[in-house]
Amino acid sequence: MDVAGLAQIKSDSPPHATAQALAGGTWLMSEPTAAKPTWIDLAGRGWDDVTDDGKHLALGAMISLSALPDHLARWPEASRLARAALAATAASSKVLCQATLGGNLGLALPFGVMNPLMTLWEARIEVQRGTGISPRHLAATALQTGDQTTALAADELVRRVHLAPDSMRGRGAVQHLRLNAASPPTLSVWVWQTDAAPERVRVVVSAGTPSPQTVLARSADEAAAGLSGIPFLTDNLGPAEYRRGILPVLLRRAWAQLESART
Amino acid sequence: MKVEVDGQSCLGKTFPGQSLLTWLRAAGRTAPKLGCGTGDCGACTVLLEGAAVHACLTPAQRAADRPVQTLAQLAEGSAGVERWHAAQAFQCGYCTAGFLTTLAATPPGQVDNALKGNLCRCTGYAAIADAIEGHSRLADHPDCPPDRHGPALLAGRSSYTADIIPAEALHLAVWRAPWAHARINSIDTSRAEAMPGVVAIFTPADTPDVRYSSGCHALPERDPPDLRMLDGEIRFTGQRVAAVVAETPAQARAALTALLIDATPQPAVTTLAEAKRGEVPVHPTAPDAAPNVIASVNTASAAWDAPADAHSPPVIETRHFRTHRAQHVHLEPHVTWAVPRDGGLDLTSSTQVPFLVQAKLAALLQLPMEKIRVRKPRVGGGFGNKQEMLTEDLVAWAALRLQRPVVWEFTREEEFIATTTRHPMELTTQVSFDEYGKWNRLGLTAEADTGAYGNHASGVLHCALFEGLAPYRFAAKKAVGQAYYTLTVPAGAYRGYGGAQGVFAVASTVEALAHAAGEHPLDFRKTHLVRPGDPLTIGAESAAQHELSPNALEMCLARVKAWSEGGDRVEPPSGPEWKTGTGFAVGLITAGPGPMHRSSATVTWEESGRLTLRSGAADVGTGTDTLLATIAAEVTGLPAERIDVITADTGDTPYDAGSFASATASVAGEAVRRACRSLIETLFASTPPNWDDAPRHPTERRTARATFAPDRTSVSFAVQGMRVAVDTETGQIRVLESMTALDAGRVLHPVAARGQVEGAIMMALGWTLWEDLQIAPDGSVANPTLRRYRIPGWGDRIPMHIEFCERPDPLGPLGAKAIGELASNGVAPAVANAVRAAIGITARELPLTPWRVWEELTASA
Repeated sequence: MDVAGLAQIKSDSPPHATAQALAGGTWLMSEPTAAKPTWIDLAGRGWDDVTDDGKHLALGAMISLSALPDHLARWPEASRLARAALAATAASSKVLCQATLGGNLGLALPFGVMNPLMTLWEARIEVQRGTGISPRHLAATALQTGDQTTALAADELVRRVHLAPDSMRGRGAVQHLRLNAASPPTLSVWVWQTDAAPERVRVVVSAGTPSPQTVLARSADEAAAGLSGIPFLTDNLGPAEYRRGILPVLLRRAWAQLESART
Repeated sequence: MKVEVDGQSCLGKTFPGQSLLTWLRAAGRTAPKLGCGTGDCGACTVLLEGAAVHACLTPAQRAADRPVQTLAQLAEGSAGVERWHAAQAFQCGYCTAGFLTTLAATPPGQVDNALKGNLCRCTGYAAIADAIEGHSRLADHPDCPPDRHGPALLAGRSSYTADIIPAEALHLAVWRAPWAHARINSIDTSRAEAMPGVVAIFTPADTPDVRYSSGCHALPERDPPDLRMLDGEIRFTGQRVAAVVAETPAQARAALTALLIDATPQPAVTTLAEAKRGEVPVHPTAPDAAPNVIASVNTASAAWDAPADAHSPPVIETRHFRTHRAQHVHLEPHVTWAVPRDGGLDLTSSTQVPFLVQAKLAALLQLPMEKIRVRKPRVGGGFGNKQEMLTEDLVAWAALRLQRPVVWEFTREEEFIATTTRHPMELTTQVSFDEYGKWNRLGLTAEADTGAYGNHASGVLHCALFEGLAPYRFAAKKAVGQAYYTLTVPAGAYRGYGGAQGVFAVASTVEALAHAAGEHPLDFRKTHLVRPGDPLTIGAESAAQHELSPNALEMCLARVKAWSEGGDRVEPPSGPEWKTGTGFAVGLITAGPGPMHRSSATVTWEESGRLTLRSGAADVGTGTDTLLATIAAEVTGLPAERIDVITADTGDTPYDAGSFASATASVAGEAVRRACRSLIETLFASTPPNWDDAPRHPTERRTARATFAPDRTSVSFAVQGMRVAVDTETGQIRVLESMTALDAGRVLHPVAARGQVEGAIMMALGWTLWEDLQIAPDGSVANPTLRRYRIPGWGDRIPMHIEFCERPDPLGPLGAKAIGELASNGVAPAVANAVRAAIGITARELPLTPWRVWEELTASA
């Protein structure tokens, strides 16, 4: 909806601390945000670049969420999981066609789907800093630090996501529990088993937690034990006790789904 | 900025932060609608370079020099529009442009994903699914005329209140209280007055010191006059404090931020328990009245009060239940505009009750009735929330003071924090048995939280007790109830009007008794339900004279029982953790209870050879304009296409109480029938009428008028069954299918009637399973967006089996009776009873969220 108090939207300015980056979705038009008088429109500056050298894949921050599965086509299981992730979002397909990879990562919503996916795949996040400063990189596990908080400084933006083949070849599963067909999940459990190291499965818990929680485990029980101390949210999608209580159920189901995918 | 809209170049100014939606609407392109402003409802969908987008989320400047298409262009020659018409896949139609525009850009096979972001509150999605599948409901019922507003609606040309705002109108915005309870000390308007575009600022000191109720019905004395237009005493978070009128909406909103308001917070009372303690009175009460009690019922039949047998006193079983707040979520927000005229004003509003608003405004503004004209254009749903005067008072006041047109459009957030809700209630049933173990007494206690103001508190409380108790034929009955003020968003009229709460408690209790007796729940009910000739009682009180249709209820019970024994039609999810069960409920509504409702109609035989029907009845998207024409067509023998319908305009149509209590068909419809009969008797010496020979010259004789004010009430029943699957590990409920059999008299328009039932079921399912308007500890609404208050969406639709067991009603027009709210009230208990059948736990509190079921499962384990 119309945003009051905005002085300008600039499309030719680099990110800076007193400006708000405008990506694609756009969440900024739908939720009250900290008042910054300037928005910097990231559309049209070529940040939807995709680099594939046959091994590593680098995805520009402005690629649309709906395009992600196609960009992952050479890893069919990863592509399938990405598609399942998008189907599980509360956002409409209209939003998914406009919303971006970088925007979803940067918003760091508890029920966002890109942070858990990138954590699952051990992605590296390339961070754009102010003009003339070389980018820095951080692990996807380190990006989201809490409910709508990230490790990014005020003048930093996600520029690219780097995916490595060893992390992407494998198979995965996801289990969500939702109030209704289009509500954000109350709890999501993601599992991913790589071909390179199949004995241990990476598990990510999201939606009911402030940020994605991850553990490597050999079984659902081991994962449950490893995740026993994680924080859970209480909100209109469910109380923390409930989320804690059903985590072992979703872990077991995710494991069964993974077994089924393997066979 | 230039945008190519529907193939035409459109020029307009924009500002940073403006959405494409408001830019388009300011440019006169009104096919996309404002529903939520947050990208959750889809009503604003347009195509931007061929891709469907939420216009409310799209910065206007991103559309510069790009093509935008709306339904106004897409509808031309569209097969989708044809299918929408054939299935009559709309009611209020506010969502229609969004659905059709989304589908225009959706490849086959991707419909489910595409429609995730489109909400419809009226249809229950069943007719929409028919449209998408190419199923024609009109073909199923060739005698059913299509909705007469459909062609404009499906062409993106329908005129809702916000679509026809005068260009010169000033815009009103309101500063709302952030406190649950406070006293305003001062309001400094100087900074705001100096801001660009600001024309006026109103504070409590500027507005009439008159108290009234926002609730509108024909018995105004039922509601306490406890509300002021602007009030220095704050009683809920979201209450109006001051109003700004400015040249543009953005200027009005900007000026709100410049108001300096000083207030002293007071202790808050945000729960029923706190209100009952009475330590903080919300409103002054009479010295002899209990603090915070706004309405009371206490009635017991003589049999209930009969002295107990000292040797075998009755064993009374009690069961406690709790229901919660819900929001109506009509997709069209409240909107009103007014134009001053000759010392009075013309007011256009999205209302269910134009005549009652006219009367309230006349009293409030101390103007003669004839100085105030209220008209209702197309309305995008109401469900009771537009049976209130929530916008009209302030708009009228501002327009009169400024002598300029003024408009006020609510945001979706305002709908959540500052309109009304369903009354949350705590209920207790009491049953006892004779010495043979036979059930012989039924009592119901209800405590309602009416929030900060008492609009509809009394009526809703009474209906909860009546609709809970009246279906059962015991001599020993008792009803006790109180409605309490709290310092929270006011409750008000909500589809079902208390019936859903009362029926939830009683129908859940009856099912438990049936299981305990080892009987099929419907057979057990048949023994105890009222029959023709029985009084409808709740204690010592009984309803006004009424009529029950012979055998109709029995037919309904038999239909639903047969369905329940018919085996699984919908497969439950696979896995041993899923358990299935079927539950039942019976609800009733009375329609048109005199003197609540009165309606007049005129019919005029025009020189053109057409009939003009005028009725004050307000079609709020339920199809009543079409229904009234259908009645006129049947009575006169004229084809519906030769009948013009003019409704809901206090300046041009005769009186009608309004659209509520499911009374339009039975009361307004009967007035139309009588007017038509009168015209025929006037024009023709003998029947059947031959209209081709009817006189067409202007004479006094060509108009007939009739008024209907029923002194008896017809009674409609719904028998409902729900089949659910419950995940015993997570508590998640999947509703597999529903069966509803209705004793609704003769069904005059089967397509519209079915749509009403489907919509009522789906709306009630949302309330049953997850919709919950939550109050934070500080008294504010905790989830005031559609993102956090989820209503049923496309993916939540269920198979709904619906049967009308038609027995013509002796009172209603051509045998018809009420339908609109009938299917609402039994859904929650039927689902709860199905959960009980599936996993053995008794659901006592709504909504039946997974965690609530899981807690019960965990406790029972």
